[in-house]
Amino acid sequence: MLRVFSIVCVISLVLGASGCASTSGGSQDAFDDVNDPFESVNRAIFDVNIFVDRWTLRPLAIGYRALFPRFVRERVHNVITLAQEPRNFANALLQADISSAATVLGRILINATFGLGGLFEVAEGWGLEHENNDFGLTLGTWGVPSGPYLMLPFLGPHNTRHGIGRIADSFADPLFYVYRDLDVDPEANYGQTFVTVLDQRTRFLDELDALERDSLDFYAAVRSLYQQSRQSRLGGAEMMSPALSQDDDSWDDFDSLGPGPGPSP
Amino acid sequence: MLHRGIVFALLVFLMPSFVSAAGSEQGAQTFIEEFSKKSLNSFRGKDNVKDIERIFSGIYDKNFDNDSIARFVLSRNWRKASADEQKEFTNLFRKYIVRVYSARFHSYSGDVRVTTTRSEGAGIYIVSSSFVPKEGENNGKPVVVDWRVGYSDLGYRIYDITVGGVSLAVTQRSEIASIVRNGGGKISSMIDVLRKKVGS
Repeated sequence: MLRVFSIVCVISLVLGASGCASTSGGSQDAFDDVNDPFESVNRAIFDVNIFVDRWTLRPLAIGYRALFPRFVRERVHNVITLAQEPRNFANALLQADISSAATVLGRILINATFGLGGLFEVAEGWGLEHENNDFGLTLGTWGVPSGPYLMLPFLGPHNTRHGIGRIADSFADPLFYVYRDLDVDPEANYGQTFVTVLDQRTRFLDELDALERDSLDFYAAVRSLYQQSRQSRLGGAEMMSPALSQDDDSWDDFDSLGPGPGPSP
Repeated sequence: MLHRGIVFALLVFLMPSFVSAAGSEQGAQTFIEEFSKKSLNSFRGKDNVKDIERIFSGIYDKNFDNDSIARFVLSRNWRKASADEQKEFTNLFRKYIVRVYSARFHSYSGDVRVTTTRSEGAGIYIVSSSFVPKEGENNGKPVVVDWRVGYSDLGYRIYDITVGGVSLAVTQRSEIASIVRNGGGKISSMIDVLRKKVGS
């Protein structure tokens, strides 16, 4: 426990320091601080990710959706979801969120049995809604700052805390132990990863296309969506609402979106 | 006694205007229920993008406070902009947002259910609703949409839409800040991007 606490302290110090550095490091738009000190590198990686996606994953996802009926895709998705539930359970416990942990445990028991090994999503019908959880969020509930925004090659948008959390989360994947203990070929592991990524990409096919089509700055839109979504999962505690992130009183006209004096023409 | 009576009479006289000046949760909820039904009904059976945009353009003007939204998304850069730039930005942003919202609304089937409404104070209400997506979209799951509704002299108006914890106005504000920053702080860089986006 002491060791875990030490690790959290170190992470907190590292992220805290870099977070401070990024804030004071010259973001001119103080109240719209997106904590992206590596923006030029991130944008370059984003472009590569989009290029690779356009020529590999997106066509595969289109093909997968065209070739396999929704019934089959849903079965695949449900099995993947069940395999991720131990991670959700472990993180709910680490967050001392007993209600969420009980929901996840109920989902595992119901979907593994009545859902025939996860093929069918029975638990949601019983009011046990699925919700992804991860160690990055756990660190967030422990007060570890998010750290700078990072666009990771192939893995997409992350904050530093989320990126570090992914390493811990890999130990909560039950198949990790199956592969290790049963000496399964590494191809099986790659296969699982591939199917998981393909499933996710297929589910967001239309949304990502719409976002790219509608956004004014695709990179900034993805960054904002990611950051808002993570903040929303932490109960809005870190929500960068204009009112909270504003540090200049002279801009108070812009601190909330609602009825007010309209712009002078 | 007379003094108390005058105060009471004044209160009774002023009460309706106080209530109407701030609106009410029920009023905001009814506004969204009527707005969403009317919007979705007008899209029904239409697949031509231009037709949908034309229909939604009228709906947008009656139900959204474009001036306030434009000012919010341009944020501190609003004051850096000249009067002409402010005007042009507001007009272009209206065209852009009509295009974005009409595409979003068109992807819903027409079944909407308002679930809860809460007041945020200062005449602002958050109305939560659940939209049923069209066949094959959003993996068949209802989409939870929160509407930021404000009450002013204009009546009820929509200021923002939040889907899954993500606010469209905050996203657009972030995009616009990024474009202006990367364009050397010039508002004209933002206006150029908007012009290209709406094709004018």
